[in-house]
Amino acid sequence: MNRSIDLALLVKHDRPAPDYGLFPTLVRLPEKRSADDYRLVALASNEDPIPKPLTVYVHVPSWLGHDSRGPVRYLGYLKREIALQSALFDGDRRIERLVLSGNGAGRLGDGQLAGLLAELDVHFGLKRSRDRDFALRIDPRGLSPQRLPLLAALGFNRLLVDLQDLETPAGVPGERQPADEWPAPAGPERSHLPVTELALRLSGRTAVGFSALLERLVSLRPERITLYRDGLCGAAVWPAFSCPSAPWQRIATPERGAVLALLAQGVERLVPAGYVHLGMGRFALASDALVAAQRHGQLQRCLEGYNLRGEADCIGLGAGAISHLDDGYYQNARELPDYCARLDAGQLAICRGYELTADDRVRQAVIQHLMGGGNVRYATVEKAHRLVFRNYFAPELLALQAMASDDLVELRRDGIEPTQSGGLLMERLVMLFDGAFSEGRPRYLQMI
Amino acid sequence: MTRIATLSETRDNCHNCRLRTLCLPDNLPVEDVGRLAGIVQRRKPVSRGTLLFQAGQRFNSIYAVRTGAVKTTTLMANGDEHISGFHLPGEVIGLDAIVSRDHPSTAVALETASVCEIPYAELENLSDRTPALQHQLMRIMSRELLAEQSTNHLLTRRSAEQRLAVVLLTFSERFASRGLSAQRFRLPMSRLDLGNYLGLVPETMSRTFRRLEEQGLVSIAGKEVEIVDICAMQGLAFGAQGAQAARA
Repeated sequence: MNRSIDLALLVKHDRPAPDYGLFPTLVRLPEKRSADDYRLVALASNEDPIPKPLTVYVHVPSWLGHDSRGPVRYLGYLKREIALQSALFDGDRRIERLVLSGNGAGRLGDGQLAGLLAELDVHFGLKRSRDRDFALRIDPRGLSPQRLPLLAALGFNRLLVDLQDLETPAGVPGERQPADEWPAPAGPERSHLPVTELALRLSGRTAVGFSALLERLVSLRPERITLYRDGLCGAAVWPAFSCPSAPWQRIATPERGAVLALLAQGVERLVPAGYVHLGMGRFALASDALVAAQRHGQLQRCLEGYNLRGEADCIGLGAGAISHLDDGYYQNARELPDYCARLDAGQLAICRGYELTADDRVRQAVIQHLMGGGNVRYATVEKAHRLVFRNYFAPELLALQAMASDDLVELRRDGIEPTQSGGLLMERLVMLFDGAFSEGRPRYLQMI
Repeated sequence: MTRIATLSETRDNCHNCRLRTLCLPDNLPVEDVGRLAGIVQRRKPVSRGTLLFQAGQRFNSIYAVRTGAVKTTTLMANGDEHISGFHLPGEVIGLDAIVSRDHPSTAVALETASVCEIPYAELENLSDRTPALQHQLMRIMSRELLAEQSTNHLLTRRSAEQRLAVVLLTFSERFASRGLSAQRFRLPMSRLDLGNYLGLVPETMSRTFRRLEEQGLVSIAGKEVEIVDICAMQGLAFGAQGAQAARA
């Protein structure tokens, strides 16, 4: 078989690594910063001559109780949190990006979604222009084609669909064709519908079954496709909070090899079909805004994959949600009772946080350049952070030699560029720059 | 042996103050500077939001800003606060109170700031005996008056963009007079405060900044402002002729 990707090489260099949707990774967020710190930073964010645009992530966990009252009760708490949070931000700062995700988001009815949007509009204000980005994670089960225009009318212009939800019960290798059940709206009305992102788990599949699934995907032609490696519940759209501290380490090495083979298979089928591999198993049609952004170095790795580069103040709402203001990350209480108790007491639900150090900022920049732009130029980092790249990252560059000698990454005079194969091991490569994993410098890991 | 001078050592005295050319000691003979230093009280740094004096409070001293920034505000008849000025290191505040017994305005630290307190009675006493000091005090008052007049003139009946350009250029000039960059500086005040000063609501404030940025006149990152095209800014602020005059 004529393969452009040398699998044996990939397996040789593959190591378990976090997916770096967030840097520093979640396990490193200690309880250093509190809700009071968040309040001060949030108020200060209004002071800039041009405050950053607001992004709101609403997290709806999968388990909200046995009956239908669970979601209703949770929405009640979300509304309280919205009121508390919005008081911290100036009234003219509208929400430009909204992501409603988490495994439970798909179970909210249209009425509940409308109610939530109305609440956000009253307190924060929703941006009205068409360049806003409002994404919703929906459950493909029982989704009718008629619902898509309804969701578009509510204001959502991007839908995240995890086809994994169709393959129940969990853990059974899916040889069914879940994509068959995805209602593919055909014809001209498609342009009025939200952009669709289909997500598919790789682990546990066979090459033959996956091949058929890929054919189906290609014929459906969603705007974006995500092939995620791990069996994590919501990994495609949100890190799994309920999983043990280092979930990415749970998958056995032989299985990781098989998953890499499937990812390579996916790249080889989807790229000729007109998709561009953005990295990390994320694909987009060549006409997609993300592809153009990547070409211009304007792509940014984020919690839910990639988005267009641009600084934003991110507000996380819901149990376990993460806020990102200035150089700090803040996380809400993860457990529902704890989350609710904080809001009952009239406080913000934030329970822990982390302020980036100067070293973190440098590493974050390198990781962003690698994951978003696909390479890093020394001069860019050196200019922005006033350092000499080769000196600052001498141990990291040395560690890269092993991958470089196998042609997975190109070490050039002026920068680092992973090759096409090397791109499939991006998280592994980026992990070398994490700092937390380098020898002799195990920072923060012990704080879990 | 190398000796490292402490920060307080370098700044605790009018003789070696970096700001002396902007402040009262400018042009004074050495012995007079010594006498002035004798009455100046160096206050400990105050944190953001601290009141230096309040409107209605008995006037005792004038203040010279040493580090940080201070805003002065007056209360309008309808109860709204109006920001009458922003004061940077080297500038003297409280002069508007000399005419009456009480402070007509309130002074608040915009960020961590340190000031020198100069008891007015003692200053008056000293300047009776020191003509050079009296002269310098007059000069500073005249400078403040002129600054006030020209901004007032420039800020009335002008577009939001022009007003903002005027204010940014004034800041640029004031930073430059302290030997700092005229092109790149950090705005010490919040968007709300600057809007209040210019009579613009926050939303318009940001839109105006964005428009200047789109025209390639300035570049904004957080509170850092870079004046990219100073000639075009002067053209916008003072009109084409004014710009020539400003350059001359």
